[in-house]
Amino acid sequence: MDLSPGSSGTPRDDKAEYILSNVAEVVERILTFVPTKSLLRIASVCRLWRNCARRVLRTQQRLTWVSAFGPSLTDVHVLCGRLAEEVEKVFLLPKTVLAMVDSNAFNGQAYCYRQNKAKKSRHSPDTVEELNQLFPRNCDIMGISAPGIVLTPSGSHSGAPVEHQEGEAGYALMFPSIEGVNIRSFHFCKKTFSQTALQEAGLVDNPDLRVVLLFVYEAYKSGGARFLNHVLEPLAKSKVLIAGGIVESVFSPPRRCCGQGAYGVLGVALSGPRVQGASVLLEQDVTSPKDAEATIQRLKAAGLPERNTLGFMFACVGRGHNYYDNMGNVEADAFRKVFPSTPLFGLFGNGEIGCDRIVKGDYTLCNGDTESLQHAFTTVMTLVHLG
Amino acid sequence: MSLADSPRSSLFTYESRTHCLNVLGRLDEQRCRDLLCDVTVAVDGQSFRAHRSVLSACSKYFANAISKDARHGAVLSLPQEVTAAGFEPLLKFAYTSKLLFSKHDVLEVRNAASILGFKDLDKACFDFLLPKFFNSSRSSALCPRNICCKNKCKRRLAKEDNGLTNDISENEAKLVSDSSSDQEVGWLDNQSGMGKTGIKKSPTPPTSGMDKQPKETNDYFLQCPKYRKFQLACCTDKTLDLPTGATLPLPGHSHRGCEDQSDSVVENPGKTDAVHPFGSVKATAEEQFHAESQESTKSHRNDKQGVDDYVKAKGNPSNSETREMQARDGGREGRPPLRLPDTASHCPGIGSSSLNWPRLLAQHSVGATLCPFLQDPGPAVSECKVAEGAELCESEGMCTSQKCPPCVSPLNSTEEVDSETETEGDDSCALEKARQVQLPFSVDWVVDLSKNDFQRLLKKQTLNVEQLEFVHDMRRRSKNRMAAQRCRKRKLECIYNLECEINKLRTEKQRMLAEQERLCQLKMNSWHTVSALCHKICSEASLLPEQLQVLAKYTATDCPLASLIPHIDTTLSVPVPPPQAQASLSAPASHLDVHSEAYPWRSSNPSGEEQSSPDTVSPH
Repeated sequence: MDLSPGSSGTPRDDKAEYILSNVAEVVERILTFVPTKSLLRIASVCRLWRNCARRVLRTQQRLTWVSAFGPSLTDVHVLCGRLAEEVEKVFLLPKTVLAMVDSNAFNGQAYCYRQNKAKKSRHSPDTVEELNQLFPRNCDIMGISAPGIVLTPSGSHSGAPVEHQEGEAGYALMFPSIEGVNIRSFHFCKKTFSQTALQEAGLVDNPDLRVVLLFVYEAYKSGGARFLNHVLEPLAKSKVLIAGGIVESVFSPPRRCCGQGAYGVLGVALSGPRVQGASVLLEQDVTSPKDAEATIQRLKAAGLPERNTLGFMFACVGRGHNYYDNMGNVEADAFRKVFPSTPLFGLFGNGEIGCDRIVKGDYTLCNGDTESLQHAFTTVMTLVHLG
Repeated sequence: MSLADSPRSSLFTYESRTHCLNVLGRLDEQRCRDLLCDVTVAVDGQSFRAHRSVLSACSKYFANAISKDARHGAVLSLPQEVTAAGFEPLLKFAYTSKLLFSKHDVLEVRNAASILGFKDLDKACFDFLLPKFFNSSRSSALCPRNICCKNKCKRRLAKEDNGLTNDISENEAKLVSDSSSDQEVGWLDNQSGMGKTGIKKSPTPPTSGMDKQPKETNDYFLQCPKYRKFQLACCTDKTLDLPTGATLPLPGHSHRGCEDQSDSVVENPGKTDAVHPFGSVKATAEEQFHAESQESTKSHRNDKQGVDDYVKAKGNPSNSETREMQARDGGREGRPPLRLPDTASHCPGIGSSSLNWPRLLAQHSVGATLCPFLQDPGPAVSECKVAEGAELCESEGMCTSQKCPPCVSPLNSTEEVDSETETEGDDSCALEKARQVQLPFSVDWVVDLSKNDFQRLLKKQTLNVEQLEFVHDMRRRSKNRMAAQRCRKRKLECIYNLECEINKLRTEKQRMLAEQERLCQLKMNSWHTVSALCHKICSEASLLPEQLQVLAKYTATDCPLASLIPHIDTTLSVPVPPPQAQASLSAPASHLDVHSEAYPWRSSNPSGEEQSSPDTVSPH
């Protein structure tokens, strides 16, 4: 109450003004309720606010996601539209973004019959550019299109995950820079792939490497399989968790070195002592909800912490409702049943990469003989704990 | 400590990351060479040499036992529950931080670990693996798969004191323990304790009795990929129940004389041949059938593919099993057979083999009604013999024509038919070509292979350029075919979706129109009310010309008052001298005088226009 009376306004305003420009604790508390994009704008108001905003930014360590599905009202993919809105509201500064959309809608195949925009592809450079504009400049954006998408609706961690084998759907996972977790994306094509490239990406000679998610495109091209084997070989030997799938295409980062239709692999390497992971393979003979749940229960047995954990599901296009007697969403439901509060994301691809492994802080469990990581008609369920 | 006393001097810390690993490695080396080992652990009649300090550091049980018994060279006997096969991996784990176990000994290892209280061994890994190993319906391969559970090095190990005494004794020849069938019985007992149905276990996978469970056959299938597809096919094929003594020639196998085989088929129908997987197949076929509907599309595909594959690669036309398979397969499918002359020519000697097999078939037939010549087997043997060639051609034609597009998605049957009709010409052409390039395997099989298998195959097989080209071409084509199919399907779905959307939009439009109608009505009503009000007020008020002018100026054209404006203008234009005009507007003017003060702007309405207002209003 030792406020000096202000020259203008009521005493009440004066108090607010004083507090907002002097009491860091209050400002900081208030700023925790402000979405990050606004926070960055706010940071340029004054020094106190900038410091507070910085501190608040540093506490935003939990990943978040935006997912969208259903027919798009505009020309762009439904995810792009949704993302543009939602990015304003997220509470983190994205460092790495993993975006997946269904390839049908995104590549424009499904829209060929529309006469007025015949063969208009939504996968136009503009769309990609627009997507890149949404995120900070130093942010790694990995854009993948796959035949089907598995997503958890935006918002709640415990929302029921949905498998979208048809129709427009997409999601974007945004990872902040998390302390103790090093997230690095990599992208190899025929020309850029080499031993040194692997080293630079931290895939070999990296004792901290824990989890690698990788997505291969155009793998059926001649030479693609050999290329994939070359990439997977060092990973299979190391004791890291590997999961991924064979996808239709990759739209970000844009490919400059190789022409259209060349094969390549895009991925993200999670390293750091706090990263843990486990994965199981739902094999070809898992054809009933009960079996699926039993297999996912094994994942539960691995005993990863529930908090700050993400589920990934990479399934074969041949699975899904076709595989379970026309019951849809079986695997996603089984996952939700076993892990009530873990968001699940994934894709339906043309092949899966994965194996039964546990990678934890104090031990790893993996198959001794390096049998192949590539599968068909299976689903790879993976849990990744981010410190 | 002297450094701690003098705070000025700087403290350097040298820390080796490899030390703990190296120490452990050297300890293991010592154990292997039986250097400094000071304890003998007797398990199950076998003895293991080790260091007391290591054991007690790794296990609660040993820590307890060794502290009680401090003598050198002691022999420690473990409780009976701990078996040698379970203990040995744990001992190695203590020295290498790697625990290797397979399906055979995982339960023993787990048991031993829990009894001995091994540290740094997370129970979770057993929980993770046991369901995988022992899930009754789908167990993995029987061939041992090493699982490596590697513990990260613990600092603790470096601290181990080396108070090891020299103690040399017997060799370690006994250390090698074989996981024989006794042990397996052991784990199977345990397994049934885990709530599994008791699988009757046979130590060597290929042996299978009549009473085997389907699970076990699955086991076996998974073991050898070559057999797998074919046997999946067999299991899911309900009509298939072959005599158990039959020996099945498979691709890549040198097979026996076919006549001998068919003889043996006839003579020993009940004999269980240890080499032959059909023994189990027979018993399981029916059970599997229940599961068939679930597995439908995939196994269906495998089924046909397996048969097909088998026929092609075999290249021995006069084999009775083949014919049975084909005939049954063809009969089961119940589709119009499709003749492909070149495939038929694969089997020239068909009609010449044993007479007995149709009867035999009849004896064992389950799906007799499905197969044309199983319905009247006894008397019609000769008929069968005659018809057999044709049937076979048909069924083989079926087999080859029905192959569905390869790989990824299991397609529903209509699509299959679709693709067949489209691509059959292509297929026959391809088959022709296949014969020309003389592939060592069947085209369809290659086409259906997964990428991995295909690569492996290419590595294994040496193909000339022509063959390679052809194989690649076939795979590419089949991929295209499938893609086209998917595309069609997608398109249809899209069209359907769009139609739905159109319908939705139509109803929306209807709704909107109705809404518009309603709103118009509402507007009209308001209009009427407002005009009525105007009339009422105007009738009560008589406006001055100036007031009318002002009114005209401020009235919007779409306002109800607007219709009155022309009249206002006329009233304004007529009177040249205002007083006279005022006088001429007798009665209304007086009214206006009364009200003009009270309602200067809003409600001032000239009165004389009341009658005309509805007419002018209506075309809004």
